Amino acid sequence: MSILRMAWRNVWRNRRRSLVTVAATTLAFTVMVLYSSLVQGYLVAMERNLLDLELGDVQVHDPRYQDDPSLYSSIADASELLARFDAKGYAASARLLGFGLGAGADASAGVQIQGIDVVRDRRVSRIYERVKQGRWLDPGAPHEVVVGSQLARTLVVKPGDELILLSQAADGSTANDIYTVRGVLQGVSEAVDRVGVFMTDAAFRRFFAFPEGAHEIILRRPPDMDVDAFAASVRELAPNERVQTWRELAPTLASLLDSARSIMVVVFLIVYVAIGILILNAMLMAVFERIREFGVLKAIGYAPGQVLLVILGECAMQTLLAIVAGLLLAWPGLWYLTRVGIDMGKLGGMAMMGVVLDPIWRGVVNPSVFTMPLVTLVAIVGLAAAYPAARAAWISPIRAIQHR
Amino acid sequence: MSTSDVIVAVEGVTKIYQQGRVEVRALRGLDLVVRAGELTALYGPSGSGKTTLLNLIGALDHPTSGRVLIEGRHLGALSRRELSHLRRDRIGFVFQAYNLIPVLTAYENAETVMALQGVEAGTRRRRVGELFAEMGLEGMEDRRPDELSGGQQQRVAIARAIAAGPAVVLADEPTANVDSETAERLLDIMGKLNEDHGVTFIFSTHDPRVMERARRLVRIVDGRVDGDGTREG
Amino acid sequence: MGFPQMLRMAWRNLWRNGRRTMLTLASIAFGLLLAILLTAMQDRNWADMIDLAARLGGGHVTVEHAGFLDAPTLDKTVRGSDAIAERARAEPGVTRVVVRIVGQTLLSTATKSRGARFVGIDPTREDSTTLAVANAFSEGAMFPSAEGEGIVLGSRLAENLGVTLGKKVVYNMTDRNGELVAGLARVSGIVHTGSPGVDGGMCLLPLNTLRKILGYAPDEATQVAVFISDQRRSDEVAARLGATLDSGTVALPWHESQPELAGFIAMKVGGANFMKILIAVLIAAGIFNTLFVSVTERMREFGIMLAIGYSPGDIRALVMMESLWMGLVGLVVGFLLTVGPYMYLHAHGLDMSAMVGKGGTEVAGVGVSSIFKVEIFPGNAVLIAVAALVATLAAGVYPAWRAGRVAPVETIRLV
Repeated sequence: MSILRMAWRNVWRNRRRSLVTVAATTLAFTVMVLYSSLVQGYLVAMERNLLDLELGDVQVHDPRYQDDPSLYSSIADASELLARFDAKGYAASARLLGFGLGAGADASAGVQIQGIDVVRDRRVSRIYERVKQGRWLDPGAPHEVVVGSQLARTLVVKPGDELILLSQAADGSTANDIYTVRGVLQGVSEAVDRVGVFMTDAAFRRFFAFPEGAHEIILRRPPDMDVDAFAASVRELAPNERVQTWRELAPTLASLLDSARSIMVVVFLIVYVAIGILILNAMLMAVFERIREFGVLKAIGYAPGQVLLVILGECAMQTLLAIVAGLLLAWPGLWYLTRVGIDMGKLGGMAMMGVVLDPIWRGVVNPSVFTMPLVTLVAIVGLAAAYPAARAAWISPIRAIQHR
Repeated sequence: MSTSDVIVAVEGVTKIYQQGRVEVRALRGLDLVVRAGELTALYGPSGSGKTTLLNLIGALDHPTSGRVLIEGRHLGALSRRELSHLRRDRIGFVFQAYNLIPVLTAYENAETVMALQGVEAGTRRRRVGELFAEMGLEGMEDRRPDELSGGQQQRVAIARAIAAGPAVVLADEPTANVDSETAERLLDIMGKLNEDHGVTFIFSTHDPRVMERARRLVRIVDGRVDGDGTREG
Repeated sequence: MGFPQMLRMAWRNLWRNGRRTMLTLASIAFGLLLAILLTAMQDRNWADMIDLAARLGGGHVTVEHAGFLDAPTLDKTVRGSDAIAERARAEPGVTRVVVRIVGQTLLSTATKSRGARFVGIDPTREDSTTLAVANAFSEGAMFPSAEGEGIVLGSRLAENLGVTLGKKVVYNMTDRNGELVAGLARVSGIVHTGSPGVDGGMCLLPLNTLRKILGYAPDEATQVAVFISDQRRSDEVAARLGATLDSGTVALPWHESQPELAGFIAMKVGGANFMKILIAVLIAAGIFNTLFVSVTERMREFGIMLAIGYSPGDIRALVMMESLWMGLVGLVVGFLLTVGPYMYLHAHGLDMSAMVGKGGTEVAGVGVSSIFKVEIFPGNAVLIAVAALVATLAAGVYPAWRAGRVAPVETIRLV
């Protein structure tokens, strides 16, 4: 204990030198905590957007759908599968997918038409939260559709305007109908924003003359199950269909999210190496200044290990001070980032690999926001302090005392 | 008795300073006049105020009350810049130890004040050469202070102190850190400079050998002049 | 005191404690290495992205109808496009100018249909410097002229439509009067870029065929795409061109026609700048520490110097010169440390596939390859060097000031 007390007093002895080191370390740590919060917030939001708005955890398709995404590659017994999923308590909803031409008063564009069971869909997707103009679908208003924001711009339509849809129905005839735009979505995904048209499943079946089956079933896993186990269970329930996890459906995105974490650690290391050099320098200076003092310690009987403890103890005290100060400083910053966030302005709605970013970038607060910067800092500081501490611990007492 | 050759005039000077929480009265109403060409030793027990007096004469410090005049100029009336120039041009210093700038060679140390004054290189080289020859420092020009003995370092310090031609050279216990043989040599040099070249010296010392060489002895006790005598010879 | 003497003394003071100085120099060099490599990566990357976006979109500067950006319908045209293109070609810095029609179309076969973006081009006037997909053909080739029935599809689009080379495709679009018009084409080529937005949503059509179908005049189009050699001059060129246009037509620099990309780049650049400043501050703290300690160690020496006639200004100047030397030598060491890695990365690029994915990634519709090239704008390199020097000098200000404030008598008494 007395060694630690000595270490503490030594830190206060040379206040100015300690101050610079502690201040610099505090700055670095605070910034890294805030940065970590932002990056994790970004990752969490991206994953959430991806899963909550588009992919779900697991999707079921007809095995032919991947190579031939047409009206005909459908899951014939979709309603039976849904019943099976319900029995197991899994949240599941079916989607009907088709393509066609959408035309407003002045312009036309190719569109992807999705028919959804409005009530069931709420269990698997939060797309209804992304209606920026007008309202989401209503099963009681089958002739009203919701379109993506880019599509609305391209076709020059807004809620209340008419939209003509043209396509080829399942029986080969021309599908042709007029709908009213009920709402405009924003920030769902790049594809939906650009070409997405949503209607009720009943409207879809009428338009495409498609009475049975579905093209896609989206499922969300229960909170206590991990994704792969969930997929395995779903596969058992639907042995004839193609079952994929979100990672299999969007592998590039999955690896992007994974690697974003390693990029973060690299940034920590870079910033901390600068700190490490500063600490190394400061400690070397401190050790050499007090070399006579350490010689005396050894002469009166301190073992090298104990002298090591004195030095490392001082370094640890300073780092601890910096961490505490850093946390205190970071607190208001974190509050701001989580409550208010950073307004991305023009970036809101921008897509990365098809996934749209939220207009407000929020940080998150979870243990790893603190632990990662902390662990990396301690590691670097430990490395930096090792050499000077070893120097002090292993000097020959007589030479040290006689030092100029 | 003309006042034109008065180099240093100390009038009723008192100096009180703080040491920790204690107030120390180093000088109590001290008067002193030093004329050109004198070789004066201020002596007395430790703590008598000799060093403090030297600091005041050397324009390193200000008296609490009283006046110090160098060549008729009242130091208290000078700006910091003027004081700095005064130290450069009119006063030479030889300290007890660690006189020299460690990163400069012996030659560079000796010429540094002249360089500050803007004297051109050729003149500087000649002057230092003369001085080094007189003091037996030939061949040492390019040595750094850590390559010189204590005595050699002091000699370089003396060369530096007089190279720029000051009105007075102040030496604070110049023989304190050297052995007796070296001390003798140093005193020989300073004596010669005083006799042959008329350089005015003021020492502070408690070394009897130094006192023996001085031609004027001023005893300082408890911050006041307690005795002031000239010696013949 | 002579300037050269002071410089010499400052230099020697720097090396009194070799180890300490070396360590500080190492940190300056490290900071420089980081700053240069980061900036080089950014400079090249964003320039590439912007150039690519230009080749995917409407050039570095797009001349289009004033209302086209908000409502991109085919009635918003640019008349006299050939004359505008000629004028644009005469501008300094402009490398290529091409005239195009862009819009949305529905492609259909007997059994399938898909919507896509179309770009109507004159293939005799375009090549890979104006059109990113021009050398991404996986099958077939570009149609030979601005007339005829050719069409080029993205690979995913072709798959989704179930067509291969030579097969027929019908394209529908709404003309300037709101009428649905159609054209027939045969697939002459298929492109594959790896970018889902392009492969799954883009096709190329012959310009003059489109003009006839849409009822355009022979020199009417929806955009004139202007390409320049240095994308940083987009604003300049846009302003000059804009001045020559009539009131219904505008010249937009890329960051206005593609604001999301601009925003993304701005955010990344902002982030990198912040990092650089943070590192600079940390390194400056280290330099400050070193200088400060070296000054406090020499207080007595400074006191003596003041006593023998140095002025406080001389002492301050001396410490600042030590700081200057530190900065200059740090720059040299930094340069030596950086030149090897930079040359290597410049030649081979940095393989970021571990972080970005093997196929690269796509941001705001623009593909980013997984190999990051490295090339710094010379102006930025100079800026970094100057900034490093300024930071070092700034770190020396307080120690220098402290050194000059030494009262001579205080320090001498320390014997």
